[in-house]
Parts: sequence; C-alpha cells; structure tokens
Amino acid sequence: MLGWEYPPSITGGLGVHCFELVSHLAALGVVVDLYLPRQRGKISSPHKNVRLIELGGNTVRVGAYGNIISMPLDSNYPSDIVGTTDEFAKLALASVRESNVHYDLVHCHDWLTIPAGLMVRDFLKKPLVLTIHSTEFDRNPVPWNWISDIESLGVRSAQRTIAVSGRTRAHLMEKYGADSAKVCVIHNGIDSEKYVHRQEQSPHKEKLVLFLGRLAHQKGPEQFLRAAKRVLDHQRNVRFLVVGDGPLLPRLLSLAIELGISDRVTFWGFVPENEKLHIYSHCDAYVMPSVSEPFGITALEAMASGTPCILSKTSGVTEVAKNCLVVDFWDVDEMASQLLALLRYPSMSRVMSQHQLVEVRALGWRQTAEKTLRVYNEILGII
Amino acid sequence: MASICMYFQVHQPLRLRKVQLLRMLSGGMPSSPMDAYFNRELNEQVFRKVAQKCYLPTNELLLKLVEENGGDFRFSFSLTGVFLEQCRMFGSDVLDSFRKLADTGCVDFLAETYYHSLASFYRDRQEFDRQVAMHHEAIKSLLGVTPNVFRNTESIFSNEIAARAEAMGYSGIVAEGTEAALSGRSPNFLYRPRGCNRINALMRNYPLSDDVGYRFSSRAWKEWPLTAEKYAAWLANCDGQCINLFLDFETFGEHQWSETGIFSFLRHLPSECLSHPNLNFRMAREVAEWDARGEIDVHAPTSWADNERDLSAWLGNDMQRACFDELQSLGDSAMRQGGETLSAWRLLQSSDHLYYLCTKSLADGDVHKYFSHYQNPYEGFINYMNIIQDFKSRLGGV
Repeated sequence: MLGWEYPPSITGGLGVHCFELVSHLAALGVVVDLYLPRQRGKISSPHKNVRLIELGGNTVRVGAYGNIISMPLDSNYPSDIVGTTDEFAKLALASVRESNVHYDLVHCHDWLTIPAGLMVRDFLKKPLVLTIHSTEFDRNPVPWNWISDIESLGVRSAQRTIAVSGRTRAHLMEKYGADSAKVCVIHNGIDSEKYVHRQEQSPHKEKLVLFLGRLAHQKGPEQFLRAAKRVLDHQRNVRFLVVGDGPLLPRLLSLAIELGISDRVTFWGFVPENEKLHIYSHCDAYVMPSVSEPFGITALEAMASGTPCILSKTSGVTEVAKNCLVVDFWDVDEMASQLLALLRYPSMSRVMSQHQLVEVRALGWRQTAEKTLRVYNEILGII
Repeated sequence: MASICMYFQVHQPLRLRKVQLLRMLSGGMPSSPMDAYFNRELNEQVFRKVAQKCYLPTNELLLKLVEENGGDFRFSFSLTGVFLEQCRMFGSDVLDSFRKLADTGCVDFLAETYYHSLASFYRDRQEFDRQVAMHHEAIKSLLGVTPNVFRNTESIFSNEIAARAEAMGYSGIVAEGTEAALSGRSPNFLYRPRGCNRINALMRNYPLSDDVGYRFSSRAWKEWPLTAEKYAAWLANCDGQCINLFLDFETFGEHQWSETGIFSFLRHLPSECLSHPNLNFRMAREVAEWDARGEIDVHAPTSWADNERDLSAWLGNDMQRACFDELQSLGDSAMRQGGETLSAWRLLQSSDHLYYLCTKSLADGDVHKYFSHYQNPYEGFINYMNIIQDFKSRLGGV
C-alpha cells in the first residue's frame, strides 16, 4: 500500500483512513507493507501484519493539505509539492524492487501516490486499486489541471477505484469519465469507542458551537462566521469555536472583526488528535458548512461524541449519517435558524444525540476494511 | 354466515409552511396565523392530485357497485374534519361524490375527532368531547347521516376511550385487533370493552386488511397477484360475526397505483364475495348493534399504526412529546381568543404533525418517510416547534 500521511501528524482524512484501514485489514489476516514519505513525527505499526516503510529524508515534503501560503491563498499545497510525488514514486519503486517481496496487489491513495502506484504496478505486474479521498475539484476553487490529469489517469488505469462516497463516485464519472463498473463506494468509518460523550447538562455558562477543519475555502469557515453573526443577533450567550489552521486564517480574523462578533469567536488553532477526542463533547453543536466535502470524517467524530450536527448537503457523510440536520452551504440564514433551534429546543438535541450514538456504532472502520478486502478478493478471483 | 364490514379511512393532512426561526424572530411573519402556518398551495396541489388518482375514480366505481348490487354491497367511511375542510377549500366535486354515496343508504359514515387529533389524551377532557361533537354535526349537516360508530384518531383505543364514546351515545367503536387485546381469540367477533355496558368494539382484522392495504402490489409476497376471487375465498373461509376490513382509502389509486390492478380488484370484489352464500356486506352501524361475544381489556392504548400498534408513532420520542405538551398548554388562551386563533390551534393538533417527527428506524421509518414532506424528523420538529412558538407569542406569551 502506498500512503502519504500517517498519525499522529495528519492534515486530512487520508491519513486517518490509511491507519485504520491497515490496522483492520491486518486483523482480517491481510499482510500489508505501507510505503510512506518520511513523516514529521515518530510513527509505529498497529499490528504485526503491518510494516511501515518510510522513504526519503527531507526530499519529500509531507503535508498534502498543509498551510504554507507562498502559493495563492486558497491553495492547499505546500509550495514545493511539484515534483515531490514523482520523487516519492521513484523512491517507492526502488524500495519495492530492492525488497524482493511477493505482493498480490498494489493499493494507492489519492493523486499524491498515483504516480508511485502506477510505477510499482508496472514493475510488479499486479492489479492496482486506487482510493480517492477527494478530487482536485473538491479541494480547489480553481483546479490545477496537472493534478486533475493525474487523477484522471489513475482512475482510468486502476483495476478498481474506491470512492469514499457516492458523491465522489459521481464526480469521478462526471469529471474523468470513469467506468461506473470499476468505481465502487466504500464509506469511511469511525472508531466510536474513543470519543468522550457529551453531557446533556453542559458545565459551561455559554453555549458552544464548533467549527473544526482546515481553514480553507472548501471547508466553508466564512459561512460559519456569517451564520454566527445571525445567531448572535438573537442570542448573545453563545461562543463560536473555530478549531483548525489554514490559509484563510487572516481573512477570517478580519471577517470576525468586520461582523462585530470577534468577542464571541475563539480561534483555537490546530489541535492534535488526542485533544480532538474531547473538544466535541464540550460543544452544543457541530457545524460542517463545507462547500464540497467528499466525505467528512469529523461529522462522524461529532456524532460519536453525541454532539448534534449541522452538515452541508454537499458532503458525502450525509449518505450514511441520517440523524443530523442538513443545509445548503451557502444558506447562512437556514444554518443560523437550525443553530438557534438546536440551542433553544433541548428535546431535539437530546433525541438527535441518542440516535447519533446508536448510528455511529454501525459505521466502524472494521466494515470499511471488510468491504475493501472484498474488493481485493474480487480482483484476485478469490471467492 | 360472516358479514364483511369494510370501512375506508379518508384523511388528508393540512401540511405546514416552512417557517424559519430567523424570519420569525425578525418579525417577518404574516398577520393571519392560517396564512402563516398552512401551506395552501402545497395542500391544494396534493389534494387535487389525490382527488384525481383516488377519491373521484374510487367513489365513481363504488357508486356503480352499490347500484349494481341493489343494496347488497354496503360499506362505511370515516372522513376527518380536516379532510372536509379541504373539500370546502379545494374540492366541492369530491364532497359531492361522497354525498351521492350517502344518498344510496348503503354507505355509513363514522364519527371521529374533527381535527384528527390526540385530544383523547388531553388533560382538559372537554376538548375531546367538543371535537367529536363538531365532527358529528359536520357529518350530519354535510352528508345527512347521524353516526353511531366512533373511530378515534388513528384507531387509538382503550377501555377508557371506549367508555367516553359510550357516554356520548355511540353503539360501536373501532379498535385494532391486536394479539394483546384478543389473547388468541378471533377478531371476527364483537367484544365489549371492560367497564362498558353497551358499546361494542369492532376489531380490525389486520392480516386480511393489510393483505390489500400493504401487500397487494408486493411481488415478493407469495400470494401475489391477489385476485378478488382468491381474496373472497379467504373471507368465505373465516368464521365469526363480522370480518372487519379497515383500510386507508388512499389504498385505491394512491398507495396502490391504478397500474397494480387495485381498481380491477375492487371492481370484482363485491360479486366474488356475494357468490359465496355464507358472506354478505354490512355497514358498521348495523354490525355495532349485534350482541358482543366476549370482553376485551385494553389499558395501554392501541392504534393501527406501525408494527408496534401503540402510540409510539406520535408520542414515541422527546421531540414529539415536547410539541404535544407545548401545544396542549396553549389551549386555555386559544379558547379565550376564539375565532381564527382557535381554529389555528385546533388544526395544529392534527396527529400528522407529530407523525412526521417519528425517529423509529427499520421498516416503520420508511413508512413515516413516505408520508412526510420533510427531509427528516429533525427538520419536521424544528418547523412544527417554530410554529408552536410563534403561535404562543401571538397569544401574548402564555
């Protein structure tokens, strides 16, 4: 398997997915070598069946969705991303060739590892599975052609493409002309046991409303602040938490001042995984106003904490999460109205919270891994 | 000899407008509560659609069948007051078609709560009595029939409700033939609810009713396709006094589309049944006068909804109970104001508004979703609660 990120240093769903996937595949008896660019922090294998192989020194810049802002403000890429994917491909090929291991198939994730996946596949002459966690059209308001070209090539070359949602699958068919028979949907999961449950009686004097995600256009933080303003026009004892880091931070700081709500908004910055487990449980509502969200694992995290959610209709997670409110990402009046309702009508928070906790239990990573293994078996002709 | 007692439930909810909390708090609501809350355009559209697909063609066929069989084909209807209101607004032709059936003398009409409400559970017991009296008068004046069988909203039944219906002078009451109530006995007999002296319970034979109402078009069902001949043979095999087939009227043409063959089934049903010498048709008012053969004892209310056949379709979660309690608590003020305010309060009591908020998953959830115009129960709750809160503020913040 070819990955890009791995906990603890992750910037998006890809890193969580790879970690959980290899852990659960291993438990199902699959032996996995996961090749990765060298990570910033120390990483360790979750299971004896999983070998982590880090490649390169500082030549490969990790942080697929980092926040270096020398590129246009809305860009999600570090300035030297160009070339790093090819560099990783060469290192991966060399390492696979040297290892002399007999692999049955190659599985790569997103455009970052497509060049590597193709090179390794050509060398091993084994089937290639590609998981698409997001497309360039989701990530950037103005897509980079050379990236979408790589995605298109990957989708057309892989024996099977796994999309993390029906929405993403539809994009792959629409934008890249992917063959519908070769693209399947396997939703992301959640390790719901890890999350701290929200108390019905909040210990906080203020109501807390959470945004958690990269501060980039795709995630809709501006709509969050505009909805916050409308809520605060009618109810003052509410604090809005913005958790995360990203290129839009300066713009968001100015916007909060401009809207006259800077005393009611807290910019928390980046939060590591272990702290994230607690944050949701302190909040009265979680809002995910993404413009375009292929899946949206954070929604499952909030649900696993029993925190009522308002989710953008343009998010893949709404295909599996039914006990949530949904809203058009641009409709800040409706978003604010839903928030006010959640804050005013405790019976709804209670019912939603109870049902969410039940719902997420059926959405484990184990199921994601089982479905992925079924794809492997199909391709390899194992019944 | 068993008598077939068919009754069709006719109801059409008055759907609510989308009321956004932000707009409400900003003072942007229309001054008339009726205009502010009820979605006239949507309701008219749905009513006319159902009229074309179900009410008009089915009534035309039923009238023909009554005439053809010279009084041997008889049945009953229960029309809610909310439905009658919509006939007044959008469908005098529909009301006329019911009137023609009433005029044959072979068609009975049941009594119920005018507003299709859960008023039988209100602390103020008089509101229930008032709504039943309103409905009784409406049926008398619009259709010329004096009801003598009572059907509580959604067939909600208990000993206590039966006693109240008896006190109002009714001879019969509709109940769901649940296993708990019958404990192994057949639903095809009349039973006396415990604590009552005169009133008889007509127990819905739900397996046979649901064969038509739910399973008729299901190709996964081993009896598909169901013909009138086959069904009549099943009925002829039943023993008992009366086989109570209680159906949602929209079974004909709406839940079961015309393409499923439901009209052809109905077309042939009377003659197929009457070809069996041990079967005849009777109206609910006739059946109710016969002697009861046993007693039933129902403390916890039953209904005809969902697999549970209890109140959980309307009062199963905290959101539903919050809306129910809040609206009920506004009764005294609404009553004092009267007029349009009182009408709005009562129309808001329709059990449909609570039904949309049901969060039961599995098979029943799908049925709730089929009937709902909301994306999910939460959206439904917000809208309904927003309206209740707006109504409350109009009453001057009770």
